[in-house]
Amino acid sequence: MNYLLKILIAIGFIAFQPDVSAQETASSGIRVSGEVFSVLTGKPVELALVNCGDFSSTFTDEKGEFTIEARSPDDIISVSAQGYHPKDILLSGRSRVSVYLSGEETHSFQEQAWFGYFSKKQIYTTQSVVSVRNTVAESAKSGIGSGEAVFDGRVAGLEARARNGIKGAGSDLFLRGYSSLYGNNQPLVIVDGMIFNTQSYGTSLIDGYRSNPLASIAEYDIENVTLVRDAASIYGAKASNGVVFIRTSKATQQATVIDLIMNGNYEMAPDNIPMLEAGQYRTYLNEILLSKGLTADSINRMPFMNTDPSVPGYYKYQNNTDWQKKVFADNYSSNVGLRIKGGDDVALYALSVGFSQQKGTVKGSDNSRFNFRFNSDINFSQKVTLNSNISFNYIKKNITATNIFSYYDAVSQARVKAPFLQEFIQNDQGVASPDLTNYDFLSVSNPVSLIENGQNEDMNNLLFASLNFNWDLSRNLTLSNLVGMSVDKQRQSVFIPRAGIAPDSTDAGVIENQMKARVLRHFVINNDIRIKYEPRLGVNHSLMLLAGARLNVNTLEEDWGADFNSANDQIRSLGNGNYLLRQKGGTIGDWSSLVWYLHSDYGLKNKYLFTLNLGLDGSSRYGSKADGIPMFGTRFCFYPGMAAAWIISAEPFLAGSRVVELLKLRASWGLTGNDDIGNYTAQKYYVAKNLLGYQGTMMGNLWNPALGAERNSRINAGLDMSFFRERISASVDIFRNKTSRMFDYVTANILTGFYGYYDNRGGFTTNGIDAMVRARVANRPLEWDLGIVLSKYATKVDDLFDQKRITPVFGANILTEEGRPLGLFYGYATRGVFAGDAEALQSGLSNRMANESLVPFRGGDVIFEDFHPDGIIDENDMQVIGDPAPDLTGEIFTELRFKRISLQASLGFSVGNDVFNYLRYTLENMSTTNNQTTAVVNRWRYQGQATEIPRAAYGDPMQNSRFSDRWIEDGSYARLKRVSLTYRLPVRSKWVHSADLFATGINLLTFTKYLGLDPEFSLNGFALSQGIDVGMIPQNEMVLLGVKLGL
Amino acid sequence: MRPTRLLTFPVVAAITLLSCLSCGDLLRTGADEVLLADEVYRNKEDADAAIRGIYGQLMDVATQYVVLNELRADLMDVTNNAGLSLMELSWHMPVSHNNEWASPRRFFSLINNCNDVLENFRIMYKENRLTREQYNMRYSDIVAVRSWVYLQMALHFADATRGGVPWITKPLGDTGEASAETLTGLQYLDLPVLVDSLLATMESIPFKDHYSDGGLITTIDGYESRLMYIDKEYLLGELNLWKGNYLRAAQYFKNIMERGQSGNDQYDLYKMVYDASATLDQTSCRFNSGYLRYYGNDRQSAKNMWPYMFYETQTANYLYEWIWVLYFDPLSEPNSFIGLFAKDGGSYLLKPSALAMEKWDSQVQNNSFRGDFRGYYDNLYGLPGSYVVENGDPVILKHIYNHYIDGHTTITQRAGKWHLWRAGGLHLRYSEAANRNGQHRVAYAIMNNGIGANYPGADPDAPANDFTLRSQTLLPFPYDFDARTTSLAQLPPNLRMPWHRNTGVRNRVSLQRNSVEGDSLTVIENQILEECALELAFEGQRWGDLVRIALRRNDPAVLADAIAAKLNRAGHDGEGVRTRLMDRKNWFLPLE
Repeated sequence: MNYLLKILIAIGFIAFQPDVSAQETASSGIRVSGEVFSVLTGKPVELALVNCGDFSSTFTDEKGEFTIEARSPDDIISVSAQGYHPKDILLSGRSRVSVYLSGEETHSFQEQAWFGYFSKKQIYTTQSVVSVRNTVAESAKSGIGSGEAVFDGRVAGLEARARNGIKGAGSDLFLRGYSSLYGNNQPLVIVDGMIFNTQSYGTSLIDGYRSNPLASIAEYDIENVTLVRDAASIYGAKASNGVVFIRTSKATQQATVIDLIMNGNYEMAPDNIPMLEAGQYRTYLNEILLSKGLTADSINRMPFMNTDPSVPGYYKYQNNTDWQKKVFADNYSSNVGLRIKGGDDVALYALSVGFSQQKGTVKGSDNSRFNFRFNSDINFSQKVTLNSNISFNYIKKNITATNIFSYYDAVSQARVKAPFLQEFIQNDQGVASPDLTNYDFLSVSNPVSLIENGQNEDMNNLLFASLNFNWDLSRNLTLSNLVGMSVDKQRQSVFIPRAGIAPDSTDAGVIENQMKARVLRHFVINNDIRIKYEPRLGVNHSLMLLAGARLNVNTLEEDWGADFNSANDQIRSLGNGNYLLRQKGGTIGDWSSLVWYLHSDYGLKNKYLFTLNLGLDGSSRYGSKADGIPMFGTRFCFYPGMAAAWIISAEPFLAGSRVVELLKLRASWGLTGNDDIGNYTAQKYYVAKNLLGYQGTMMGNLWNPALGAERNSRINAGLDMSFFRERISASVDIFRNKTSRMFDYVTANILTGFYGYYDNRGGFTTNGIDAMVRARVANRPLEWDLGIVLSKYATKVDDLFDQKRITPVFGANILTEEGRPLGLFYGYATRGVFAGDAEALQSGLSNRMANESLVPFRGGDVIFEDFHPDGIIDENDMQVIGDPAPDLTGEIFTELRFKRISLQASLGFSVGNDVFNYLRYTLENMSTTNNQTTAVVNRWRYQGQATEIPRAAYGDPMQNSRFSDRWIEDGSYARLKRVSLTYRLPVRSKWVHSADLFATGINLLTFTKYLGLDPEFSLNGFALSQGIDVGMIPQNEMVLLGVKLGL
Repeated sequence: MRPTRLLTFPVVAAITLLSCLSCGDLLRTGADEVLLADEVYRNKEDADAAIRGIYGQLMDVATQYVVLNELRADLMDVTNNAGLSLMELSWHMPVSHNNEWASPRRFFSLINNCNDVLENFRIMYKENRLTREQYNMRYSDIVAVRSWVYLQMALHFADATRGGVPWITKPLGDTGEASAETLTGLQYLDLPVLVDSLLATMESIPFKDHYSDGGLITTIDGYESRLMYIDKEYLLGELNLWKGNYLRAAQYFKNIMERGQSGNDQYDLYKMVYDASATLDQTSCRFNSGYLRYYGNDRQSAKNMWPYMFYETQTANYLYEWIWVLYFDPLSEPNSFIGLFAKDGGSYLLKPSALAMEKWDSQVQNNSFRGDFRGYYDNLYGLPGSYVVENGDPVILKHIYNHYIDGHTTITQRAGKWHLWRAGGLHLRYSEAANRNGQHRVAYAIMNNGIGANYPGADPDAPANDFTLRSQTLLPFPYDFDARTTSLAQLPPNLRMPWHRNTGVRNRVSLQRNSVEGDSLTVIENQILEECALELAFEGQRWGDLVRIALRRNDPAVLADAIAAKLNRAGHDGEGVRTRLMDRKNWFLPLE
């Protein structure tokens, strides 16, 4: 601590010193000579620019040799040449250096990381930072996705888990796991210095679909993404999940550069889930109806059992329809993007326009996007500059179906519909008409009718614009103000037809057709004023101080209406339904936050680096007695953070080593928070309580004035290394993120009449390790780069006010218990199926029914483990049956280049994660007349039959399909996410500077034992719904062909 | 552009921002979704909204009120569809931790909200946002609601260790007010002590009448709001009856009976009258049941009009009967009793106990027929009664008459009422008080066949047409009844005194009057208790009646025997439960 104090005093001292002129030390200059080589070719680099700060400058000669004057033996010289990463060399006392420049296309710690307000070379960062560069050419190959596709799989510790295969649905981002039980777990995204909202607000009218704000950033507009994985304390209570800085395209030179990309892709329909065929299904239906209590005779008289073609209606039940084929289809998508960069000495600009149209695998689904971005940098004078970033997007989707079970979801109905029926009405001779059938005698809708007549439309437009003024007050001092706004508007419009759809009964009446509409507006104003002080302190000291205030003001309004039973399916607008069924609702929310921040970097002799971060964060959401300093009517919490790094390779004993190029040890600690506690949760409020239709008020909450942000402390230690002239670079980080003062709903004393109140109680800890290795395996003529990122983390609940709780999510029970990992599956263990009644009787087991009576198991029932041995299977027998957190995740990526051809591939994998296969849980339960998967062919049907599948029983009275390890599967997978072949055409005409042709395969191969359609999914961002696969539309194999032209 | 001009924007922006930062509530947002504390209790309209909020919440305890008061007592039982939580209540088993029916949470929530409203009313009055008159009315009403809720809660719940229920009169609105220290420091009151407190509080309220404010006496969704508010005099009568102040109780009840001052009101309002038109016509029957005129001995001519009181709304008959009733409206809050009782459209969880059905079936009518119109009395011209037998299953109808009669295919038919207090109960309570106050004959008359029939009172010296002393109790208030009705030839001529139509609780449904043998006090009280079962079954009075009488006589067997009888009749271990219930501690559910 004393040590830290001294540093702080030293920083303070230096900061208030008058500007130390670099010229003072000029006389004591020393001469340094060296040579510059290319790592790529091993040959000297001619005309490389060699600088020593702004003190001296020279070029290399034809042998790559140079001689330059430096200020001290610990000075830095920087070398840059076209096509190579600019490189900083710490002299560390040397007077002769050999410099190896690595090519721009390879990974290097010499690259810049971008922090919104400033950029810094990664060799000098003290925090756990990963920077990912992106080019138009790269993006062109990856097809159409949303912004996160740029860094997906490139950053250890970051999981971008695709939500599902609905086009444009995007991914949930998890940086080092979870930090909150009930709050937001997504990292903070900063686009061009301004907070970008990634949360999806309100309630979607389309079950299973959430809006994806990141889709409004076109990948080819992204130039750099920098992730701060440890504590970015200057972002206060928004940074508990790390920060992602996105920098969009900027022109760096005045020459006009035009890039045009065009690509098209072909996507294969997903695999069918193997469902029973007509014959198998008829047998099953017979059995299930018998178990329902119908007599064999009455079943035999049902029309689907009829075997006589002369009986009218015979043909109606004699089909063998693969319903899944009726809803899925291969499809084609196309994408065009144009980017122009250029300018003059006053203004530089980058303009990009794009349009894409994607079709989805569910028939009728699509996703169209128009995007526009105009970024410019204007020099008003030498002292005043302006950066403006303006983007506008329009996205429209037809979602058709998500497979969240309902009578009006085409995919879910296709899976459960009787295969002996077909979609068209047939006459008594079996001739089909073009008219679609109505819902069937088992109350299953006609999926084809849903696709053809239904509508699930989602529209979204976002204007995201900022103006950043910089005013150089003096040589060391810059005042900047960023003012920006984000105007997000989402519209949904849903129509479920009457034709062919099974009606839904509600308390209010029978629903026949449905019209729904929703509008959400989210308006944000940001202002960020800051001052940057960067004095010149000579060779041995470097300092940067940045201080500012960031204001973020949000208003959100959502309105929706639902109307039912319009006169006919052509009347589709709200207001035409039955007034008794009409529903409406919405949300309105305002919130704002203000953060005062200070960031300072101090470097001693360029090898001992220190960072101090301070954030003072206040939000309208905090309670009046929350932790912190009272200001502006709320409380401000203090978020300190500090980090230090030691560049060991700059020490004399390693300087000039042929093996070790860079060895840097980093350590950081910091506090961050999470302000996602609800807009009014910490205020005393009243809510509406009507007396009949007349509005009244009542107390809304048991007010906890002390409610504030969650606290998240992040400790990180890491090592950045590169060897053999940067041919191998690696980075390893170990971390501990500890959430305390967790936002939780605490049971209230019953005397208050309230169920509970929100409080900052409890916490959990995530420990983990992230590793990255990248290597240039071979140099010319065949260049081969190989990289791998790995991450592993484990989360343990430290403290929970009720010690243990079980949360039901989609049929699963999720356990949260002190001392255990987060989000465990808690259910019954099974030991097969009783072969016969005798075996069942012998086991002595009986089931506790809903009315508390005990019923003995019999043949064909699942053998549940009597975990709490009392002969009774009831909730006491539940145990941990799976852990959705993976043991290890990562990605391997490689790139091979040979002359004009390059091949890229990346393989993502996840090991040791358990998945609750909810889809199988609903399609194999044998408790309804719904069609089942082919697994049930082996169901128990006679005494003595040894099988793993229990008997079919209507309503499942013995709860054989309860949440058990039957539905838990190993979700490990390895997936060839992308393989891409590029050929650079040898063109050099007046109009076309370059032309790349490429072919990309996406998700071509997936290795997994998992039975679901897609092992990669994310139900939502919550910590308690990990690993629950509800079987939404899967991601599929896709082939993409395209061209990128440089004009 | 000149550089200096271009500087304007950043400078202005910076200054604006900095000046913004100096305003104190930069980070205070207004809430549109909820009402923050400074957006309520600003004026009279806000105060009225708070009152509606309280009555709205009261609606939420409707089903629990009926379940606790009836299922725990002897007249209601579970069907095979009921789950464990209802069984536990019906059969007096220890209740599970998660039994929502046995949770006092809603009562505490109401008490807390009442306390919050009262506290805010006090502040509003002090700050002149309510006039004295406005304040008195509203304050008194909410105190009455709170008292009623307290009485209900104390009837069923008691702290397992400390006994009784906590006496909370301050709002517990935030975690400080609801801190562990505050809560453990609360005083716990046993039922009789609590009654004393409630009585003291209620006697001291400044206003005991009905609202006279247009903001509150209005029509809400087509229902008159007047009957939705608690009747303070009735509550005071009840509390005095609990306390043992029988005269005072009788006075309060009599006040209610005498509310009709002119027109038909003075004869019919809350006076339990006969059908003046003698036709048992639905519009004029005053809920009398019997037989078609001149066919008194014909079973086929039975005409059950009594149950119409549970079906009709806002008719003359209805307004003469009902004192406190709340409504379920299909568009805002459909009838929550349908789920409990209905077979069609509901889950049919509760049914009449075998004991209750026997009670009705063993009644003897004026024509010596057996059965009670108020139970299930099959008839061609009227309604079934308190329950109906559908396919062999008895289905309680009282709370779902609208649903039963109007059908249930659309939401508009999910209307209903929550029946709290009415003339039938009023007369039986009055009887109970009068009986204990030594006025056995008055009590008997009110319960059986009315004042007129029981007070011949002829003066032997007067001419035969002199009715001066007849049909009158000739007692001071509250036992003063004048039931004289004379013709032109009689003395005094053409007299129609207010009580001349009084017919008695039993006679209204054509039942024979009870005979009294032995100690009138006890016998009549037992008969009143029995009559309460027949008249008020399923309306949520039974448990309270049993507890009140048992406490008064200091004889737990009154309650224990009744419940044991129900369980024995249903084939359960009644004796075990009787033993348990002989200990008063076991009457109460734990406070958790």
